[in-house]
Amino acid sequence: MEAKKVAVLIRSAPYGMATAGEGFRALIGLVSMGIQTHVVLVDDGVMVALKNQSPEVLDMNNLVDLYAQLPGLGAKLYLHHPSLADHGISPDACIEAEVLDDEKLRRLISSVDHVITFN
Amino acid sequence: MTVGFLLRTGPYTSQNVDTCYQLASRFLARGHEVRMFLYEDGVFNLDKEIQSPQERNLAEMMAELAQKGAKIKACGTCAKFRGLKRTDIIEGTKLAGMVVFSNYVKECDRFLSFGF
Amino acid sequence: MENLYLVTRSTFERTAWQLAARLAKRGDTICFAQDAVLAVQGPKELSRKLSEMESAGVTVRFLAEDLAARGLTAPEGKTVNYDGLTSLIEEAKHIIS
Repeated sequence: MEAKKVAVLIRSAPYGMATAGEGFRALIGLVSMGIQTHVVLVDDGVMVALKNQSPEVLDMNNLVDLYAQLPGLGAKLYLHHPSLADHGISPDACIEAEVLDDEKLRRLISSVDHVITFN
Repeated sequence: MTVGFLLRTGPYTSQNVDTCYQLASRFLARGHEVRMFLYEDGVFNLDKEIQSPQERNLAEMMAELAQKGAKIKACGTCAKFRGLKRTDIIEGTKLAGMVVFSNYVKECDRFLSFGF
Repeated sequence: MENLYLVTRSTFERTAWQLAARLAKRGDTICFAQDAVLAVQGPKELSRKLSEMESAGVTVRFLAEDLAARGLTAPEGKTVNYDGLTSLIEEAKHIIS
């Protein structure tokens, strides 16, 4: 069977909800099982990519450091540009990732087998 | 076809579990296969001690889906973090790791996510 | 159908519907279920956007059971019941919630 491709949309900001953290655990599972995984930070999810996070003050695990490891683990990381703009964040303030406009996100979605959302 | 569900919310908190039940029941009735992975608080939907006098019993509804052939697994790590044990969940369902979640994703023709 | 956008959160309290509105194209369906059936009431920005989307060939549907449960109604021909939603999922390549 040909390798499955999925897009995982992370739509929630880090730390207030467990969503971005639990989403990471799920997508690491997908990657380790040979599923081609495209991770898109969208809506509040773009906040996950912001550099200089200090969640140790909350005694929580650093999510931006985890997401920054994704390319090395074989998953591709993307930022949804309109979401960045809505949140007043420049791509320069974020970790390295491909920036997608709506049309590119649409094309990514059509290229995968499933879309899994963490909202 | 095979239809997969990711359910991340707990019982009596959100309508998600009801929506999943309604859809999964129909897929099964139409001869499709159903895979359901319960994640985060979603694992509590399988708690066999759920009692709900004069209200729908969500654990029984999950058990009914399993009995009709749905494969239902709950995230073992999520269960551990919440103090839910292997022996606490309804018959026909099991705790499982992300390997099972990934296999469900691989096996499915359609995939639905229910979160917050 | 290429994509089925399934929106479940209140369209007044949350902005989850906006991603569906941005991405849905001709031939896609956007279905409002659970508290998202409040979409029949607005907000105005959404109502405007939905008319535009329908003119552009996007199908808009509201889940009948979730409307009825809340005492709401949708314009004729715009509802789909659970059986219909089941069929929409069968027909869609991707379901985006």
